[in-house]
Amino acid sequence: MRCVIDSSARNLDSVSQEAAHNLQRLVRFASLERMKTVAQREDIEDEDQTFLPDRLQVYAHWMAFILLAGDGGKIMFKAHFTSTDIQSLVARALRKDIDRVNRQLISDFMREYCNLTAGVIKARLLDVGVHTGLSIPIVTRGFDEIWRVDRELSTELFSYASWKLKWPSGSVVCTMGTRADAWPSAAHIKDLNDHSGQESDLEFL
Amino acid sequence: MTISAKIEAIQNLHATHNIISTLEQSKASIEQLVDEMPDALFIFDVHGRIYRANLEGCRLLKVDSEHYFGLTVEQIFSNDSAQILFNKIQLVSQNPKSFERPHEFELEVQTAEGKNFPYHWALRPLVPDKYEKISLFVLYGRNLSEIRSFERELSQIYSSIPIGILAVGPGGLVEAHYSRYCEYLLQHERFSGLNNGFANLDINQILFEPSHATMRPSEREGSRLLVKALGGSEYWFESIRTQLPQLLVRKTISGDLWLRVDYFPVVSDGIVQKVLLIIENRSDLVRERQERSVWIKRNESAVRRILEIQNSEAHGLQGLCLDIESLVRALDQAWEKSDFPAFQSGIEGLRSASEAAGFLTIKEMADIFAVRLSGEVGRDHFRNRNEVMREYAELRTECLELVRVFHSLNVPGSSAQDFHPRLDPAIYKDITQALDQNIELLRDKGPESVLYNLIHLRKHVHRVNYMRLSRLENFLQDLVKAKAAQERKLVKIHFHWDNVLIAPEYARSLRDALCFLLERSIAQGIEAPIKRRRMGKPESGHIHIEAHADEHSVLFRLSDDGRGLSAGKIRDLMKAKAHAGSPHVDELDDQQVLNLVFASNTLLHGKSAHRHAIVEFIGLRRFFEQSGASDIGLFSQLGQGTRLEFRLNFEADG
Repeated sequence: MRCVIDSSARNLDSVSQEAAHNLQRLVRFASLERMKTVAQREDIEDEDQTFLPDRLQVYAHWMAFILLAGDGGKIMFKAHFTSTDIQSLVARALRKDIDRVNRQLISDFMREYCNLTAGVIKARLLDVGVHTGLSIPIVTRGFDEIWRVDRELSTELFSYASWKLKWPSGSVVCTMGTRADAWPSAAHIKDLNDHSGQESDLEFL
Repeated sequence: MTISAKIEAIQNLHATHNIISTLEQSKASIEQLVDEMPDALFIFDVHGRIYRANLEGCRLLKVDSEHYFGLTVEQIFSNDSAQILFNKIQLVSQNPKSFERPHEFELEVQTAEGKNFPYHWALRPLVPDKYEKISLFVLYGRNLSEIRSFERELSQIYSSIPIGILAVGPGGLVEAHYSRYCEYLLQHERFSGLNNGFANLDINQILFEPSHATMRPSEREGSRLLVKALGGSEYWFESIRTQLPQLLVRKTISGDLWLRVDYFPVVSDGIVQKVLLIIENRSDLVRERQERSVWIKRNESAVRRILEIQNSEAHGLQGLCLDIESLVRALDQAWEKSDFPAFQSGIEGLRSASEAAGFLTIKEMADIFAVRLSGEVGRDHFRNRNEVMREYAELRTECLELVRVFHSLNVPGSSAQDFHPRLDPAIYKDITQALDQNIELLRDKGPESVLYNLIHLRKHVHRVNYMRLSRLENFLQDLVKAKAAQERKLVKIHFHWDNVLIAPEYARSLRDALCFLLERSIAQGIEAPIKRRRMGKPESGHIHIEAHADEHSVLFRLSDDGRGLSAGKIRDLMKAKAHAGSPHVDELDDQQVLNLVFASNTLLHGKSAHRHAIVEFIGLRRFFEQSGASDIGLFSQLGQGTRLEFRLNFEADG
C-alpha cells in the first residue's frame, strides 16, 4: 500500500499518523472486498497506483464517490472508471447481454458499490467508537477531479491514497482522502477481515 | 436529541439527498450536451496531455469515447501543425486577456488515412487566472470541410458568371477575392495567371490606365476620386459618384473593348470601407448602337440627298454632277501631292458647283472647309493632315454619295426625267396614223370629212406632253424603302396604273402629294412588324396606289392595311379646334366625319375661314384645292386600314 500524507499533516502525532494509516488500509480493503462482492468474482486484485496529491490528475472518464463524515473527521472515497470496463462487469454479475447494460445501469452499479464500500468502513469505524454518517453516492465525470486541487488540497483533507482494482477485462482506480486527526481511535483498527461478507447483497436492482 | 428532532433531521437529510440527485442529473445532461456537440472539444495541459475530450474529439483522436487518457492533443495534427499549436498555447498562456477572447486560428487535422481536413480552432484557458493551480486549456474545433466545399462551389459559380466583380480596399488596392472573369475583362497578361492575380494591385493600374487615351479629362479626374473616396464619408462618395468613369474603352487585339463600371460603396459607421466594382462587357451593345446610329444616319442622309436632288431647280444637273465628280478627283490628286493651292481651288470649285446645283449640304460643308483653309492658318491646317483628312473625307463622301444617288435616280426611264417633255411612242403612233387618215380623207372626200378626225388629232397632240404615271414608280419605290428603313418597318408598295397618263402641270404636285401620303402611311399607318404579328396581320404592310383614267379625269385610290383612322378622335379634334362651329358634329356618322377631313375651309366654315386645320394635312388640302380635285373620299376602318380617293380633272380636249 502506498500512503501519502500531505505536508500540512507532518505535525500529526504518532497516534494520528497510525490512525490515518489504518484508515487508508481500511478503505482499500473495503473497496476490494465490496468489488468482489458486487461483481461476484474472486479474481479481482488490488495494486499500487502512483498518486501525486498536488498535481492535476484525471484517472478516467467517469467517477463515483461517497463521503463519510462524523465526529470532526471525514473520508472521501472515489472510484474512477470507464463505461466499457464496468459494462462487462455488470453483464457478468447480472448475467445480462452486454449490449443491454446501459449507462444508467452502470451508474447505479457504481453508486451501489460506493454505498457498500462506505458501509463496511462505517461499520469498522463504529467498532472503534467512531460514529459517522454517509452521503448519497454520486456519479459524475472523472474530469471533475481537477476541481479537487483547489478544494481538497486547501485545508480539509490531507491524507491521500490511490490504488487500482484489476480483473482480467478491466480496472477501476480508487482514491481516498481523509482528515483523520479527529479520529485517534482509528489507530485501534486491527483485523480487517473480521467483518468481511457483511452487506453483500446487490441492492441497486 | 428528541425523537421529533431526529425525525426532522432525517427528513432534512432525505430532502438534501433528493436535491443533490436532481443536481447530479442536471449536470449529467449538460455533460451529455458537451459530449455530443458537433464541434470537437479538448481540455489539456500545457504539455498537450488530454484531460477531457468529447465524442467528436475522440473521433479525431481515433479512439473510442472515454479512452482519451494518456493521449496528447498533438496526435491529431501533423508535426508542423502541432508545433504551431504549441506556439499558440504559449501565446494564450502568456496573454491574460485570452480568457475573455479566445485565440482563433485554422489548422488542418490528419485522419488515419492520412487525409487532411481544415478545422477552425478557438483556444482559451479553462478557467480565469484566480484558479492558479489549474493550468488547463480548452480547444474548440469546427470542421470546415463542408464550408470549404461550399466556398469552392460558390467560387466556381462566382468565377463563371460573365461579370467582373472586384472590391477595392484602402489605398485603392484590389482585394484578394474577385471574380475570375475580371482577368478576362481587364486582359492584363502581366497579372493574369499569377498566384495573386489582381490582388493588392492598384485599381488605377489595372482598370483606368489602359483606357486613359480615350478618357475625357473629367473622367481621368473621376478615376482619381475613387481612391480618395475610400475612408471618406458615404455622403461624399455619393456626391462624387456621378463623376466616376462609367464607360471605359480599351484597345485589344480583337478590337475595342467597352466596359461598363458600376460602383457600390461598402459602408461601416458612415465611412466607405471599400468599393465594390461591377464590370460588364458592353462591347456588343455599344457596337450595335454605333451600327444602328450609322445606319439611321445613312438612311436619313439618303432621304435628304434624294430630296435635295428632287428639289433642285437647276438646269443641267447632270453636268453639275459630272463637275462635282471631276472636282473630287482633282482634290484627291491635290491631297496626294500635298498641293495646297490646288486643294484650295478644288474646294472653291465645289462651293460653286454645289451652289449652282442647289446642293445645300455640300455647299455648307465646302463653305466651312474653305474658311478653315483660308490664309496662312489654313495652310497650317492643311499641313496637319490628320485633322484635315477627317473633314475632307466627310465632304468627299457627301459629294460622291449625292452624285451616286443622282445617277441612280436618273437611269433611263427614271422619274427624275419624267418632268421633261418626251413624246410617248404610242401617242406618236396615234398622231401619225391620224395624220395619214386625214390626208387620205382630204384627197377622197374633201375638207368637211376631216373635221371629226382633226378634233381627234388635236386630243392626241394635246397629250404629247402627258407622262405615264408608271414613270414615278422607281422614285416612289426608293422613297418607300428609305422611309420604311427609317421607321424600322416592312412595307411593300403596289402600283395599279398601267398606261394611265397625266398632264405635266400636275406631275410634280401629284408626286409631292403621293410622297406625303406614302410617308404618312408608313410613319403612322403601317404598324411595326412585331405589332402586326400580334394583330394577326402579315409582318409586311401593303400600300396600293391605283389610277383609273377616263376621257377627262383620273381617279386615284391609295389604300393601306395599317391601323386606320379613328373617326372618334377626329370628331374630338374637330370639337377641340372649334370646327364644331358646325354644331352638328356629334350628329354626323363616322363616314361623314371622315369626309370632312379634306373638306375645304370654305366648305367647313363658310367665308369666315381663317381657322385651324382639322388635321395637319394643309399641304395635301392645298394640292386638292389647286388641282381642282373632286370626289375626295376618306374611308377607314380602325385596325384594318385607310383608303383615300380623289379625282383630278383635266381640261376638256375640245
